[in-house]
Amino acid sequence: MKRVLLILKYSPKLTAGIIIILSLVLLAILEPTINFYRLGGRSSTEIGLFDTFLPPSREHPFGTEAYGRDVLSLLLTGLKYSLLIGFTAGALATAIAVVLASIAGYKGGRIEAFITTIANAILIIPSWPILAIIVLFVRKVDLFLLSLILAFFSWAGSSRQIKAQIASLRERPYIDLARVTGFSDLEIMFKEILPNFLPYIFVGFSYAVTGTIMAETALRLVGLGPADIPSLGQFINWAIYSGTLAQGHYIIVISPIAFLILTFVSLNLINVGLDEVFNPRLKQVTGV
Amino acid sequence: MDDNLLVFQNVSKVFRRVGFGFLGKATVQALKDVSFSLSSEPEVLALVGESGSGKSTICRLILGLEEPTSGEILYKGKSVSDWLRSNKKEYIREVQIIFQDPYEVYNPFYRVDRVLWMAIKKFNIASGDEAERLIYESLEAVGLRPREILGRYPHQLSGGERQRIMLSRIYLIKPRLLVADEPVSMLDASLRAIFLDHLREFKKLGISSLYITHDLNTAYYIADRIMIIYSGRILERGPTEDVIKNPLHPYTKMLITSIPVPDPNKRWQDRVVIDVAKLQKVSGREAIGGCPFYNRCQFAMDKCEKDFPPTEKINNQEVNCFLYG
Amino acid sequence: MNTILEVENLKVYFKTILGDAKSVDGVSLKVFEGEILGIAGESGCGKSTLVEGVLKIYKPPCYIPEGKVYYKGIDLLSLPEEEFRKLRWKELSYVPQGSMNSLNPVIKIEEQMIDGILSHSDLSYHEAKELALSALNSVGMPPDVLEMYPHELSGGMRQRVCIAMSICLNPKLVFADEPITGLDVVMQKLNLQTLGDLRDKFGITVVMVAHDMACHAEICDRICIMYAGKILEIGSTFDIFSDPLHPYTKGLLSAVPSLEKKDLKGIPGLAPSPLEWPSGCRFHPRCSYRMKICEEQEPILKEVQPGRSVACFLYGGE
Repeated sequence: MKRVLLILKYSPKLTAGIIIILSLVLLAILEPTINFYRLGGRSSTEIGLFDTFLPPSREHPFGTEAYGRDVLSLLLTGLKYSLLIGFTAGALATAIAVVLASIAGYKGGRIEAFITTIANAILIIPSWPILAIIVLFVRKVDLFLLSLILAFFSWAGSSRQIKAQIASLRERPYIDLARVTGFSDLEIMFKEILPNFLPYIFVGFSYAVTGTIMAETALRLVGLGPADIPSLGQFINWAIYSGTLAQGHYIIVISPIAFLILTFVSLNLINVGLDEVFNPRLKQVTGV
Repeated sequence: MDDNLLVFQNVSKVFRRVGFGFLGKATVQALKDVSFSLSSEPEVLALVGESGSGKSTICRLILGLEEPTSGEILYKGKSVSDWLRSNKKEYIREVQIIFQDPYEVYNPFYRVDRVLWMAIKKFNIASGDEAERLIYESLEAVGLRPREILGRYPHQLSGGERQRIMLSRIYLIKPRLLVADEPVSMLDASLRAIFLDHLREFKKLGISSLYITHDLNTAYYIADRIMIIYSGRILERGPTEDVIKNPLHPYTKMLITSIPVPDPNKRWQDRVVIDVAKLQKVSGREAIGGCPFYNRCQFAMDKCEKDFPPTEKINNQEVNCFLYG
Repeated sequence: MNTILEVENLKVYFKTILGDAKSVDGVSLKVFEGEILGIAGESGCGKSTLVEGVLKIYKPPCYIPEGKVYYKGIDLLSLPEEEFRKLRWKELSYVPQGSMNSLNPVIKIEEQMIDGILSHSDLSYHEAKELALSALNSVGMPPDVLEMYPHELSGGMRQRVCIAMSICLNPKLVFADEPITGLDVVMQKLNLQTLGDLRDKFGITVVMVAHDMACHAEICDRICIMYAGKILEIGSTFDIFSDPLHPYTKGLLSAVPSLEKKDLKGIPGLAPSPLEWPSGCRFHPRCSYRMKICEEQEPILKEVQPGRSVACFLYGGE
């Protein structure tokens, strides 16, 4: 515990990042409660609950939008879904990446070549247009399916780093020591290698989250994606297509963008902060 | 015949590099026709060679991490590959290693105790209280204080301490054959003596050691016998005192005269002359025949390029050089 | 004897999570023109950090809280980076540790050498090439080397190229950090002799940082013994080896193996951590001659004979 506090104290960026993302997650978790309290059991996406384009007031801190919905409530709902999609897709992508990259990195040879080729293909082929086409044609998309599709296009990115990391870890003397003590390959994978690249898994995860949220938002902005999943991207899409910007109600468009940016920034701060803490040069001097 | 613990019989090892680049040959002959033996009488045999000489390959072959391309490696009369196939557990219990790098040999995620507990569990050495007692004993035997060592993470200990924990691991396992791969080259001078003394003490526990190093000085300090290896071939071998005081092979002589002596009154008198034509890296040994030292030898004769000299026995030493016989 | 470099109470610290790591903690020494000065010590004593501090090539989290460095009377540490840059390579030069591995593998030696020269001077390409050739010649390397790629040369040869690079602009003072680690025995001898040549043939002053006492014995005129961020003893090579004063020096020398003797003694205990140096004399926990005062006060580096300084209460030092 003391170690954790020391680390947090050392890296303000890490601390800031963690605080921001936890706050956002907290908001998303509390969204049903908050909206229940604010809307008395009605859904935040229900059209016509209020008058359209009301200016910010005590009842509507962010005002209302083109379809008569309270902006703040919509924001919270959107945040919830965006984070849900991002974390789910991110988790799936990371899981796929870890499994495939581990196998590739540890076994090497033909298996590695095969997996690397697939990963490279996904990276090189412009995935977003293909993603758009898939979403266009698959009519009924629920949240999980959407996450899965996003994850499929996202795992390739972090897998390279993970694989390289594992391939280098494989050469470490402590792996040899485990071998001469009679450890099996599987034992080595799980007990020796895996614990050491947890920080990298997190970095891969945060990139996957950021990447998938962005991809999903991008889909929304061109009108694709299931309309019944009101993510922040969808919210922006509604705002733009209903002429909100044209009529000068900037806050309705800026606020969801702000939340998205906050999410990305906080995740990146965590990455940078982790890097500061685990910086090898520091380790040499102080052994931390 | 087999009063010998370990026997290398005409062992050769060729590495095939996967994919080739502009950086060198596609195959590398790491060892060529290497033969030597370690007797069952506990001794310290030093294998002295520079980087690229093949000494690490010998190390990996003994441990079974690689297989010889040709020739046989026999442990207690049975080939190593047979051991690994049928009695792997027994073999790795009897044949152990101390690595060069005291930093990388510990998994940074775990406490240092783990390397000792790993050994105890995998080799069924003891359990519960008895195991703990043995761990304490083994740490104290190498001059470490258990209270200061156990529970620590690798980065909290110095290189010297970490390397000594490796020694206590050997105390726990009590193998018959220990391969020590440059165990002190990454330690400070002031810590080397202590470590090497313990290595020597292992003889009393019935452990024979193969001490692999590039440093003739430390080999002189602890070895009973020395082998000089160059470019995959053993060029000279014999009792330590004899080889050092009366070196036969030109390479051995060159090694000895090139070592700086820690005494300003005994500075080098001669100068090294670079042969401009031989500037380049010797990439991938031309061990197709011939003495690998041919390029750098001031006594080189024509036949040295074509044939590898047979072993000549002179008193207690053996040398492979056409200058003799 | 002219003093070409003077270091006064230099401190070089690293900011870390656990506080400051005081790698160099008050070092004072003088370098005389035309000599080879060895800085000896084991890992963690601060010798490499000392060089980085003097040449101002450190990066955050490293910083200098205190101290002065004078090169030919110029206060180096208060010099703005622009000005210092002009001194580097032209007056003060550096062969870093492991430099033979820092050559760019896909660029020819010629380009790398000339790049270095051009970035520290206002010469033309042609002039720079002349200098490069001359430098290579000075270390006994043929001009053909320019056409080669680093990987075509052995480690020892690459190291010599790095030495040549460091003398291209005819500096007066060259710092060499562990110039022979990782080299084959014959290359080590060759490169040490090359460093000796810098002094003998070109009058360049050399400061060599190395942990191997035998190397210092071969080419150094004077040696500084460093431990725990401080200098414990300074003297001529002959004096240090024949009559070491400080207990640490004695211990260090008896731990150096050689083919001339069969006994080796280590120094008990462990090197301390720069995050928390021991009180009083930093060596006292491991010293077999320690007295009460050694735990409480830190001895000062004092000249006890002409040209011999030691920081130890056995010889005064209050």
